[in-house]
Amino acid sequence: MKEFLEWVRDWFGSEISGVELFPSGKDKIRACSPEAKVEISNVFLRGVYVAKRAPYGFIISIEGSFLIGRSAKKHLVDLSESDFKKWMRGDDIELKLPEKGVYIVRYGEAFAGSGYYDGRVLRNLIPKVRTLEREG
Amino acid sequence: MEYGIPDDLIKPEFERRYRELLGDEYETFLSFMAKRPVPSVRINPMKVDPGWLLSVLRASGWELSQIPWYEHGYRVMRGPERLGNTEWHQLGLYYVQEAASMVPPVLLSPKPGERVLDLAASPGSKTTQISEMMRYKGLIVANDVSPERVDSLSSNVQRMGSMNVVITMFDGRRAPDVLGRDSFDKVLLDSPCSSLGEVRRSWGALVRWSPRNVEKISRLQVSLAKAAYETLKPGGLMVYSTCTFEPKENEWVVYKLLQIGAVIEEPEVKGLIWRKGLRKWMDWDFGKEMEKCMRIYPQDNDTIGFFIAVLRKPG
Repeated sequence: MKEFLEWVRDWFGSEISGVELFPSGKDKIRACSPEAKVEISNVFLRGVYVAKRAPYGFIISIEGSFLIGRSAKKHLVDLSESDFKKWMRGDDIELKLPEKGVYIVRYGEAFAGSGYYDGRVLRNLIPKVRTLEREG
Repeated sequence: MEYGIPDDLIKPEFERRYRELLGDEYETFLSFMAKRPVPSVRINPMKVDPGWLLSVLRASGWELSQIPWYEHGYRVMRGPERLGNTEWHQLGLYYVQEAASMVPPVLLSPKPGERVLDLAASPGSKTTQISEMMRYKGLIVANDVSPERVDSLSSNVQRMGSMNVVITMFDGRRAPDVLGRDSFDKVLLDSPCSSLGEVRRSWGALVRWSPRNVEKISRLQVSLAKAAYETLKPGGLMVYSTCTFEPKENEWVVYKLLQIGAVIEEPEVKGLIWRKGLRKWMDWDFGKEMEKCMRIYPQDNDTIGFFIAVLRKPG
């Protein structure tokens, strides 16, 4: 958790507070309210998935992007309406960003997960199940 | 065809029973049961400023009408055909939820920091509404019994970002043993039921309906309700709800809770039309207190049907 919190602080300039973070499986990180950290039997899942370790840092889930994005000071990209629509269909977006790495995506007041900028395109990291189904 | 519902779906015993229950209103009731309800959504104020989302939706041609009994609920008078396939839905900025289904959480009135149990929680519409009302603070134990049901609950809890939810999976009748007695401030039992109130969305409930099935479900409901009540702290509040009109699944279950000490409270919901619970039905006399239960018929507010009771554990 310490590594993730430090990465969030360094990369986004963001502080996560008011929630408990905990590992889930080998690579994932979940978050819950402090009160939801309680011992209960027959637990299936606790809180929500917020991030997953990746070679370039961490993939931030849509819910993680809301948690981190609100206080992020850098590596946050605001999409135009047309790019946002493409993004939500699961497409990569061609644009110019300051450096390679993970970016939190925003449209207006809505956070839309994260992407990896490879120097040419912002690779879409939203899981398919959260993108729009293509009509027809 | 009669009233739009195929004749063979209205069983003679159903007609006899509901003519007795509704009197002159039976035909109006059936005509509403045959109509699809206006879809509605619940905006998630924990993820987005509702004013911003409303302006975006209206700018893209949506026509929305506020639901009087829940401040973030809106009927979609005009909008996309598939409300579950928009950017805003996928980001968890709204949940597609029938207007009457927003009432049980309103009556539960959960507060940030409380311990809440939602015993039959899937698919999670009420769980996530409760979570937002609690501003993601405190604890909601959201339970259901099967892996399939828990999977859909998990997806919705994730999508809505409900961080104060712990999902459990067990037979709700074991709740006091699994979760402890006297341990929750508030408990919602939105019980499995014969789902007649849902006929507006699918006629399947009419196909499955029979007095025998009602009896069978009623026994399960009584067991679940007693288990839910046992987990409630003294002084705590429980909401029992179903989406059916069957007295044996509604007043009868509440009557059984009164016998073990529960006290019914008078519900108050702004802008909602509802009928009093039945004092008598067939050979049973449930008593005057039962009139504090809430019956919502489709023709009352142009919603699906619901039954709701608010109960307090003395303490």
